[in-house]
This record gives sequence, structure tokens and C-alpha cells, in this order.
Amino acid sequence: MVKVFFDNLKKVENNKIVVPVYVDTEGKNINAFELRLKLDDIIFRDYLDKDSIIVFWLEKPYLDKNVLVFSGIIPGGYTGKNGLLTKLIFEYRDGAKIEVLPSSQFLLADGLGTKAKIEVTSFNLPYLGKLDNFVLEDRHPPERFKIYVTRDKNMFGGRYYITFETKDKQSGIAYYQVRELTFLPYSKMENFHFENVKPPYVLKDQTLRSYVVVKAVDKFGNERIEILKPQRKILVDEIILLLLFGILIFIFFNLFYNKRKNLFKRK
Amino acid sequence: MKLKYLLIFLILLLTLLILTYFTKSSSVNVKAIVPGICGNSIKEIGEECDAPDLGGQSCISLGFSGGNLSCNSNCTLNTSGCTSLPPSGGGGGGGGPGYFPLQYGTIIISGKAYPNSEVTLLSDGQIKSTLKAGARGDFEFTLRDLSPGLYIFSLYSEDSKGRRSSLINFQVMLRAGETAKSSGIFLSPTIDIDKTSVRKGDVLQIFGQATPDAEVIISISSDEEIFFRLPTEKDGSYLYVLKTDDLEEGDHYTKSRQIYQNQMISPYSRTLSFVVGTTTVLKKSEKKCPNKGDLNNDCRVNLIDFSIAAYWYKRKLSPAFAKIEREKLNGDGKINLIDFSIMAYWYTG
Repeated sequence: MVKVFFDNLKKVENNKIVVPVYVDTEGKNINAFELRLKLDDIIFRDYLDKDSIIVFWLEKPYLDKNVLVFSGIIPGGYTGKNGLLTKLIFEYRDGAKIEVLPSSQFLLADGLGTKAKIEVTSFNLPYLGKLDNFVLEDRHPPERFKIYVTRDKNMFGGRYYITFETKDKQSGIAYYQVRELTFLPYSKMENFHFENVKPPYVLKDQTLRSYVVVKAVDKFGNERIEILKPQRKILVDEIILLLLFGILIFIFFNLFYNKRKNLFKRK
Repeated sequence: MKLKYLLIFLILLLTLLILTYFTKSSSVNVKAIVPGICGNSIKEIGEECDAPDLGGQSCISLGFSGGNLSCNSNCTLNTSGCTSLPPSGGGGGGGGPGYFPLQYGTIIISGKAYPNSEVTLLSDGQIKSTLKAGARGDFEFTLRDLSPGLYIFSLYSEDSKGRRSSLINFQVMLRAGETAKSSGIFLSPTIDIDKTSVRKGDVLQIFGQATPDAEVIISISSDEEIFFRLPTEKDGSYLYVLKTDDLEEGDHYTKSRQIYQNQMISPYSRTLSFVVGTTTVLKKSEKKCPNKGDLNNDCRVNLIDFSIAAYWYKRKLSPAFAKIEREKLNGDGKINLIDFSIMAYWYTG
């Protein structure tokens, strides 16, 4: 049975607590999960994905009434006793409780998505007297990442879009920003106006002739910028149009020149 | 004269080319600035901090020599825990507080794959590096200038017939300024069978690629699990001829793993299914692309496929995408966690 447990709690402010959520797969290899936690007398504030085993978030932690839900994917799977899923930050009072709901799912890495049996538990938050020395420092930018440009006739009306994902090893990704540019600027990127986005992002320039600048910002404000170069300079249909136009002009000038030549001859 | 008109023609063509290149619709970015909410643990506009988020500041960055910087409940920085060194004696004063440069680390990953095979290393789901294994299947990756933290690596290899191994995952915790080594990574064999259905009494060939000098263990399961052991050939390939006389009629599964010098044991390979019955059906040679999960038919299962599936997650499928879901996922007419698990199984990066 897969077990979810909470350990190494840290009290960071007078009424704030960091609760790491772990999984013990009991020898099974799991590669996807959805965890649903019922919160009793406790307020969810934020999460940290430092040291998390999750490779791709499917749904980052969000509240559905008093149930906290989050889900993720681990290509290749995870087998172990202490897999950290995430660290949740709560405001709480003594006597607060977190309950793992039976609707939570952990799926095996067997190619079929078989559900593993899960142990349903309830966790009473212990009384934590003094503050813990929990210092989160982050001076490193997020990891390098690739920007994929693609289109799918079944999505976004067949328009080109980009998708991307990265991780921050210390504090976690706070948000992404995007800017499309005709030229790469010589001055610093900071002076440019970026738009807050979530992937996938539909490109404004559907001709794919712009530079697409994606900025990943972590929770301490450190930035990683990746740039997607223009995928095309001139479109094929534009080349054909140009050639046709060129041929027309050539024919026109030839006719005009011959007409003038004949006129001179007659004279 | 003709030359003159030819020149005019070329100038016009060039002008049109330049105009086409530079012409694009302009876009307007509209940014809404939302004041921060003090107490949500994220430093936002108008806040100096929001515990535990200190906005990248520390005692040192604020000009102190050390100590613990904290955040007040009104989202302003609290420097009462910071310390200052006394000025150095002899006048003149010392320099400002030191700035500690960022420290990076190195990770070295080594193990065994198949002879001369291409080995692909993924880090946090993205392809980090590929290299060719040696003649005995040995490989070693060295990754430099890495930020400290937990890394989740995945490895797979492709044998000479284009069959991919299953993904092997492992974690490495890297500390600042250190070199972490992860050795003994041992890929599972590739596996294939020659029939999808075999008449009881006929033979079934189970074969694939492993590491030279390894021993392969083949598992056959139906009601009970049966094991067979055999050495690999000199090039690491293996072939087992299974007699089906003693197998019950019905569905069966097979997978393999390898042992090297009684020290290294690989995970199991992919599981293949076959039927023991009254007819024999030869297995069609598989395309090299992943069987499932490749939603955009680019022969890979990666972030693009995840983004396509995520678009349809908890949404009613269009008829066109429902067809793709039937072919490439579990065919239940919806995108849910099971489909992502299937994609994660076939993931290539």
C-alpha cells in the first residue's frame, strides 16, 4: 500500500508552519499521482517544490473548498520510502488536522495506469512551541530549459503555440513571462515589458518570424531567460507570390521596351 | 537598355523582399499591476518580504556581516538578527561585507548499457545529454556548473534494432561546490517476442539486447511466475526459445532483467503480452516510435504531448482528438490521470 505521511514540520512564524508531504511507495514504482487533502482548522498559504520528486506538475496545489488538491507526473517513476512531494505552508491553530482522502490516486508505472492501493490517514498537527531555524535562501536562477513551438489542429484553432517547463532547485518557480521581439535588443532585457503567462502560450506572431523570449522567475526573484529564435524568415507562399510578381513586372517591362523599340524603328 | 530594365526589376524584387521581412503586425502588451497580499508567503509589489520569502535579501546583501534576516508581520524586513563586525583596528577601516559567489557543483553518472548504443540522459524530464556507450556497454556522463539541489535523472538506451529500453530513474542530491557521483546505473534489457499468439505446443522466441557478459532472467507470468536464466551472447544479445506445452491457455506476460557479475541487477524491462491458444499469429515488426503517448506523431513522448493532453484534461474531447485518444492512450474517451501515467511510461524527452 502506498502511504502518504507528513514529517519534519517547521514552524516559521508565530502561526505559520511548513509541512513536508512524503510518499512511501512500499516497493511499488509510481509515476503519476493526485493527492486530495481535507483541511480542518488550517489555512493553506503556499507551497515549495524544492527537493520534490515531481518532474512535471499537472495541477499545482489549489483549494477546492476545504480540500487541497495537487497532482504530478514522474516519467520513469519513483520507488522509495521518503519521496518528497512538496512542502505546504499553512497558517494553523493547535488541533488542526489534515486528512488524506480516499479519492487520492497513485498510479503504477506499468504502462496501463493501474491504481495502487493507498493508505488513508489523518494527521493531527502537533503543538510546535518555538520557532525553527528555517532559512530559505535562493541566489541561483531557475534551471535552463527548452522552448517547444508547435501547433495542433485540435487546439487553439490550429495556431502556433509554445510550451515550456523548468524547475528551480531552491525556492521553486513563481511565474513565467513572455515577450515577442522582431530584433534582439542590444540593451538589457530588464528594460522590456514582459507579459505574465502560463504555458502553453499562443504566439501573437503566427508567422514565426519573431524572437520569443521566455523568462522563468523563482520565488526569490532570480530569473532565467531563454530565447527561441525565429523559425522562419520568409514564408513559402510569400516566395511564390514574389516570384509571380517579379515575372509579371519582367513581362511588363519587356513589352514596354519592345513597344518603344518598335516606335523608334518606324521613325 | 535591357540591362536598365533588368536592374529596375531586381531592385523592385529586393524592395519587396525587405518589406515582407520587416512587415509584421504590432502587438500591445497590457500589464495589470496588482498590489501584494501580505501573509501569502510571496514577496510582491509594495512588500519588502513575506515570510519565508525574503526577496533574495540576506543580512550580507543589506550590508551586515552575517546573522539571520527575518520578516515582520507587516511584510517589512527585520534586521534585528543581523550582526556587524567591529571595525578593524589601526584606522582606515576595513572593506565592505564580503559577497559570497554562487557555488555550483558537478555530477558524474556512470553505468552499463548496450555495446555502442546511444544512451540518453534526462534531467527533470528534459534531455540533458546523449552519448555513445563503449564496446562493453560502459558509459559516463559528466555534468558541470549545476545549481545545488535535488536532481531527478532518467536514462534510456536504444539497441541496434532500434528497440528502446525502459526508463530508469534515480535521484542525486548535489551540494554547493561538490562533485556527486552516481555509479552502477544498470539499464534493463530490451525485449521482444516473435508471436502475439502461439498455438499450445509451439515455441515462442523471446529475445533482445543486454550487456555483454551479463546473465538474463526472463520472467513468464500467468497464474504463477516462472523464471528462466541464460547467458548473453558475446555482443550482449540474448534469445530464449520458450516451449508452450506446459503453459495454460490464455493471456501471459513476459519481461526480462539482467545480472552482471552477481553485483549489478537491472530493473525489469517492459512487459510484453502474448496468448497461448489454438492459433499462431506472428508479431508484426514494431515501428521504432513509442507505442503509446505520442500524440503529435513526432516519434517522441515529451512536453509537447503533455501540453496536448493537458489542454484536454477535464474537458470534453473533440471527435478528432477522441480518435487520437483511442489510438494513443487508453481509449476511455477522456483525458485523466491514467493517460498521463501511460505517457510517463513511454516518455522519451
